Amino acid sequence: MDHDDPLLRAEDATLVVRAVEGDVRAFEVLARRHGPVMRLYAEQMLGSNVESDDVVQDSFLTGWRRLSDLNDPARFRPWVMQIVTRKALDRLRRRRHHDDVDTVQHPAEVARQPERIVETRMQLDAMWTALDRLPADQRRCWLLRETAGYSYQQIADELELPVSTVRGLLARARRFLTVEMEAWR
Amino acid sequence: MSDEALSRALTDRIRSVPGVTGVYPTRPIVHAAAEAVASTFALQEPDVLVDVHRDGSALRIGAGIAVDDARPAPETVREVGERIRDLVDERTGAPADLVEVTIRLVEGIGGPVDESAGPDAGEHVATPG
Amino acid sequence: MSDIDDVPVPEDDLDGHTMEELAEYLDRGRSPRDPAIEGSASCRLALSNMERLRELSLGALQHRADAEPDRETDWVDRLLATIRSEVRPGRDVPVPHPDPRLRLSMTEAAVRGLVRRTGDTMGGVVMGSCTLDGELGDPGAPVHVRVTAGLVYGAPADETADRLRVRIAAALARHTTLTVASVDVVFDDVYLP
Repeated sequence: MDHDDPLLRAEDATLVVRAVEGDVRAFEVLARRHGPVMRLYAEQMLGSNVESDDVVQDSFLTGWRRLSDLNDPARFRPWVMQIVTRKALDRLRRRRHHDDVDTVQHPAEVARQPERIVETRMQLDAMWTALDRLPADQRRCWLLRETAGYSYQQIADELELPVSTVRGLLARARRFLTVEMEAWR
Repeated sequence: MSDEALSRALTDRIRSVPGVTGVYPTRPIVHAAAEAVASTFALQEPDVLVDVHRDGSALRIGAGIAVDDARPAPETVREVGERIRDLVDERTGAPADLVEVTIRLVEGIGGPVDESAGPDAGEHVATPG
Repeated sequence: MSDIDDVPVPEDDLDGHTMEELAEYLDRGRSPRDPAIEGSASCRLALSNMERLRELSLGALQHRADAEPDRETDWVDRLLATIRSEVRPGRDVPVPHPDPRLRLSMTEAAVRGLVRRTGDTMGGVVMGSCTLDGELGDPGAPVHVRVTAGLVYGAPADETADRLRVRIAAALARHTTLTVASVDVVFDDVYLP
């Protein structure tokens, strides 16, 4: 894309309104603008890069096809994030039922090796590292609660766990993150 | 200002832009001779042709135009878009969220072509075949 | 594999409220205001901490996304290819404008009409079909114009084709922002003057 393309400066709402009318370039701007965050989110949910790309591509495609469902054009990001969440959860459910969890690479495990923990000065970098260091189950619950806004019951249903387990995972995640971020108050 | 009054004002304003030879409703007319059909359509409702569409709080304006060969079409349509935008901003106090203008027809072709006129005319012609 | 242990984590003392309740209270934007919660120091502390972590969590993802140069954008190209293949026919040619609220275009039918009229008014040819191959909606994407025409009996084909090509290219350059890669002319008919 051309660097002085005025669409690059347009608000999400304008881009959505154009894309609903068939403007593919406007949708491209939306995909490039929000894609990176969605990929990281999907990776954190799934614990793998390969699947996260598929999930994000698929989510944006669904976003394109269902764009007229979006009531408030300014809320494109949370809307796409919900789509990504659902598709990531579908993947997780399929994995559980196919018992291949053990074969999936977890970037969190790599990050836990002490020599790989980069010294972080910025608060957000520290938060990212902390999230990355959470065990996968706790991180998933955390993201579903705090980023996707799912209720405890919804999380339990989606991850096929008892609500009490979800409560425990969230409490542990919250405690860990609080301690990690204490130094930044 | 009612939507109908706005559409009427916009139709007038568009017609006054140099290079515009006609204004059409934006609902697509699926017909091979769309140009001919569009002119008869215009005769039925001559003055309220610009689409004023409200979708929740979003205001979208749509217009179809015919332009004259005498002025480069991109210049004409840009001016039309800007006049619409400015009129809506001025008359309704709320800016339009989207203004769509589509050129449906380029008319008046037939004079001798000045082949050095287009900025890249020479460069665009590839090797014959 | 799983880090879930069976020992439940004891809840913090939140004056009779659970974290789950507080999380939902926060989701509602702390309204309607609950005096029992707002009156409890430990609840307020928990809420404030939760809010902070929530913001940091969202911020961390965005910050990381901004900091990492996009490793690969193949997925976007694949996405767009799929989308373009699904877009309804009757493609519009965009006319660029710096204001993103203005969406200006010319219909494909208008472009083809322009090409046809340009040929018909040249003299010596009668235009037949006109096809525009290429991604019309993608600015800068090369477009190949293919036309067929009838040639007046006796006129030199090559020279007439060249004149026609130049005339068509000029008309498109004047009235569109298309990148015309080639203009192919095929005479498939002869007519008497």
